[in-house]
Amino acid sequence: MKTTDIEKIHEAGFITAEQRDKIIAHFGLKEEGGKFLVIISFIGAVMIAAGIALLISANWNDIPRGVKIAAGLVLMLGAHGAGWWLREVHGQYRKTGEALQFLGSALFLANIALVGQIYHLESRTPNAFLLWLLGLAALPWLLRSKAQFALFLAAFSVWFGCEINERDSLIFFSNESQVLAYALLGLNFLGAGFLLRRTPFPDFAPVAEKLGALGLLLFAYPLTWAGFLSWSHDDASLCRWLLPALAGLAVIATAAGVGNLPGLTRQWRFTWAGSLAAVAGLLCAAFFAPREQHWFWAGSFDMVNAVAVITLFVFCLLQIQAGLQLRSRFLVNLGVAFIGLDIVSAYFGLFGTMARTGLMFVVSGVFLLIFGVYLEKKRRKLIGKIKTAKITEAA
Amino acid sequence: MKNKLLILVLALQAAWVLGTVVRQENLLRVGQVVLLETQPVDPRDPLRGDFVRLNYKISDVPVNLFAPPVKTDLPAGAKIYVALAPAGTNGFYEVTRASRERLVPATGEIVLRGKSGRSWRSAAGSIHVEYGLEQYFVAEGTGNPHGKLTVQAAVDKSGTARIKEVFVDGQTYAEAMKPAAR
Repeated sequence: MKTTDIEKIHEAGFITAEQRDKIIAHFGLKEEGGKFLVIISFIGAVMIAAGIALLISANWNDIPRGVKIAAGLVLMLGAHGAGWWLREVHGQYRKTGEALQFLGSALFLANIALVGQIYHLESRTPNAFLLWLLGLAALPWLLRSKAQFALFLAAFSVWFGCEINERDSLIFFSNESQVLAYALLGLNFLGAGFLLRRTPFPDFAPVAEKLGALGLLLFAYPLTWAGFLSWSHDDASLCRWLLPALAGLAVIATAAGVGNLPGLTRQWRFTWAGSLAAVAGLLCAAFFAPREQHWFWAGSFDMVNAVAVITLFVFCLLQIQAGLQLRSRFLVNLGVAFIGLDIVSAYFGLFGTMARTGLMFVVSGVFLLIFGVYLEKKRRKLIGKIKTAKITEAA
Repeated sequence: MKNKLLILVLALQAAWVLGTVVRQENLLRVGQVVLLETQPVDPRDPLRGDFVRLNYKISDVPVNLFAPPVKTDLPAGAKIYVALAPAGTNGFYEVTRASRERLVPATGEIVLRGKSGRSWRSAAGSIHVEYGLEQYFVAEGTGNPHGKLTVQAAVDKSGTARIKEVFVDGQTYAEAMKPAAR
């Protein structure tokens, strides 16, 4: 329900101005223009940060290094200062202030890069991201800012990605099987989101949960591709304990946090926690399962791919049901999207001879058309239910 | 309280930047200066832009210069101390001896601290040593110099070295590459 909808109902004469104001106040509806401003502000902040990073990369010789460092520091501290003033003193442009503080945190990374560039410092790439991560770790909690928290999770993910690709790292996990580590990291974010619901920072929970659910499905999805992970994953130099450790942490976090999900019945809490634990276990198993190894990409659809296709399909159905109970449109839409992608993978994975492929095309095409219509109908119905339930609950 | 903590975090961020600047500036100002021969390769860093990867004559240290003796299959990342002294009349420093233990410099010697690189990068019978002098960040589009490259580096008492200036055929890098700059 949007403010404009209430305005239209008022203009049509169904409700009085007083009733309109009461409805808007009761449901806490906000002007859409405000949301647009928030989006514009954050896009602006990201563009400024990217622009400054590129200007630093261009490395103009004509600017003395003292000026470069001073400019970097003034911009970083200035963005934080202006953001703080807008949020805490002025008070009217709180979201623009948050965007400026977001920019300030991004500029800390730019300053790290600048110092490294000026003095030609040789260091491991993940160390720069780790320093950035440590520098901004306290800010989401101090500023109570969802944007800072999202940046913190992004910084952690970038550091993790760089670290597992460094050959001298304790958690080196460099070949294509690294997607399993990212999927498990997503599951950990999801668990962290569940746990955050019962802390003084429940606003951060949706950020971690959405990023986690997206990461989990996005990085687990390649397992449904024919031949994926069937070559060279048995590299002895890869860290053997990383996946079990990530899976263990994810199981603990999700099992401990699932009790904080208010919309789920007791039975569904067990089902949802069990599904997440099963996914964690299967992601580990995909790496350790004995499998025919190739030194090249063979492209054949094998047992791991088949299990992945079926698991993803079932998991997405469970996620949709959990999303429905939790009234989360995001979980429902994500589940529906990945069921579609899963079907596409299975379809391409089962390619064979011309006759078989031809038949597959026809059968799958018809199936996709019918299933597409069915999924869209189902999705609309589920979203409708969520909306109705929200309105009923609020009333 | 919150504001005080916020100021503390931002002060720590700024302190890291300034602290690193002070340390590096101090090294460049008071460090002993050595001249080294080198060859370039030009890649790009996603955050810091174009750079020239420098491979020095002193990067490959023959195993027979090590005392106590070492084998060529030294693990990557092992700490190595290398003593340099000017060779001939051109002023370039070359390796006189090396060790995995801290070296006391003899008269005319400078000791550099480095770490062993990957064995596949070593010349035969040598250990590849990285000194933290291998990356030189340059202006956009100027990472492909032609001519003889020499590096002036500053070295502090701990053996840490930083590039002070790079020369192309005797001219400073920025001067020599000005026509190529975008």
